[in-house]
Amino acid sequence: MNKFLAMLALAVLPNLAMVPLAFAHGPTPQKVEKSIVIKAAPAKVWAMVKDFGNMQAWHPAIASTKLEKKGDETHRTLTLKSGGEIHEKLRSADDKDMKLKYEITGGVAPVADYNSVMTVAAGPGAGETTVTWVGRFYRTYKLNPPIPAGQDDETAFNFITGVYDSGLANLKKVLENSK
Amino acid sequence: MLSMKNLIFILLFTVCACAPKPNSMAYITNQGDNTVSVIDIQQSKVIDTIKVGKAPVGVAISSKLKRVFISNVESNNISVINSANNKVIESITLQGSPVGLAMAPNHNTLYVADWFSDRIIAINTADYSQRREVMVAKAPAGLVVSADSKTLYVAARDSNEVAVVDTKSFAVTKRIAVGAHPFGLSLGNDGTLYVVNVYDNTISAINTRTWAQTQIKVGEHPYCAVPSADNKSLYVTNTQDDTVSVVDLGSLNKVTQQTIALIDVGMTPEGISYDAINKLVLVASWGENKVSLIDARTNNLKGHINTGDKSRAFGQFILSEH
Repeated sequence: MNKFLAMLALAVLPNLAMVPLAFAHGPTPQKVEKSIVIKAAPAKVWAMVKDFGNMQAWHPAIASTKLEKKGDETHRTLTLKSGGEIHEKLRSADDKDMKLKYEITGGVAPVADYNSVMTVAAGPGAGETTVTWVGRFYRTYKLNPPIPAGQDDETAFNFITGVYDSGLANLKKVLENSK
Repeated sequence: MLSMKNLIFILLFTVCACAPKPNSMAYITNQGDNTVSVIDIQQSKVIDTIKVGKAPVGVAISSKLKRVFISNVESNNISVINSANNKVIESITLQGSPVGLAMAPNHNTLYVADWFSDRIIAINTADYSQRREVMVAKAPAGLVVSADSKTLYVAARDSNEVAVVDTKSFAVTKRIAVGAHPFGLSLGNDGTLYVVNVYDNTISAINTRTWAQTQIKVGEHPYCAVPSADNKSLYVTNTQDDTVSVVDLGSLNKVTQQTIALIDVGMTPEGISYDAINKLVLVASWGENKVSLIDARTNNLKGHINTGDKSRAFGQFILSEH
């Protein structure tokens, strides 16, 4: 088995040397879509969601958020409680449609070409608000299959699913417990 | 005994069967559930769902051969569908990862972009075992063939160029530098080549006689473009704005092409095709698992048809029956 893996590594190595990694991503994008109903007014929920520089206020995996302006662009650095950073760029925060769009520009998240939309909408019931979080991304491995463990679709999908599930659950908790 | 009523019914049915009204079918690849949705465009509904290979993306159609070809990028093969009964009749196995597909207008050759190997495979439609190959450039994506079937254009995404391939010698004869990350390609019937530059949010409009190139500004992260049959309008999917840009093409020599309409469609629109019979533009929404219909006469959204999970429909996906 080990012999086989060693041969596999040898077969992959020459390709690694030839392919530039800067722009490439695979041919099959992945999607995670999650939503949660929060007992709070839409304006209150939106105020927390759109506050790009304070994600640690509601996401349990984030220790701190650093906001930076780079010319016209707004960027943030998320420092994770588990260690490591994720760099993100704000694309738009639309107050009318209550829609936040951002992308990942670097860091430890095992995804490539990630972009995301968080949408806040009134309902379904009176005094309730629905938050929907959708991400589109690729696995990090950019070369010919076979795909190494940790750089595959499943790793990317599970990571984002975990980020969304834990984030939305805690967003609900924080908002419903605050006055 | 045949009653008069039954006889009339049979006669009527026979007449209808002999002279069908012209209609179009759309073949939509659904990446997430490994299927193709077949849409009867006049009826505005899915009439068949066909199981294909893993993560289907590209579509190419030969109306003459009654064949629809589907590229399955994650299972390294091409599903061949008989459009007469919408059954998969064959699977073409490849040593590679097929993404973009194009059918030569003379129906003789299917072209396949092999994403990871930077090459194009030409498959003889009369004998799928007869194949030719040419290395082009990095990450070949969109493909389109000239009306005379003599020239193949290839968008090489990671080389930021379009490779021009002579289909007889099967060699690259020219490389055209375009914008960043070219993906979708289409050809107007006036010979204008439209190249979608994903990272630049532009279209390169290239005159294929003079190679003069103009850039058209569109929305965020465009993927695919299709001109109307009269070459007056270009429809472009903006994947990260969830819109379709309608660009007034004016005359070929006009430098400033203007966006005349911006149509909200389903989330993450990818593939787009023009249905000349019904004067409709069909747009596959990857993010919302549906196809949006745009009335090409008014540029208004006409409605949506639910398809399968993560619809892509990359390529010319409409089969017109005349």
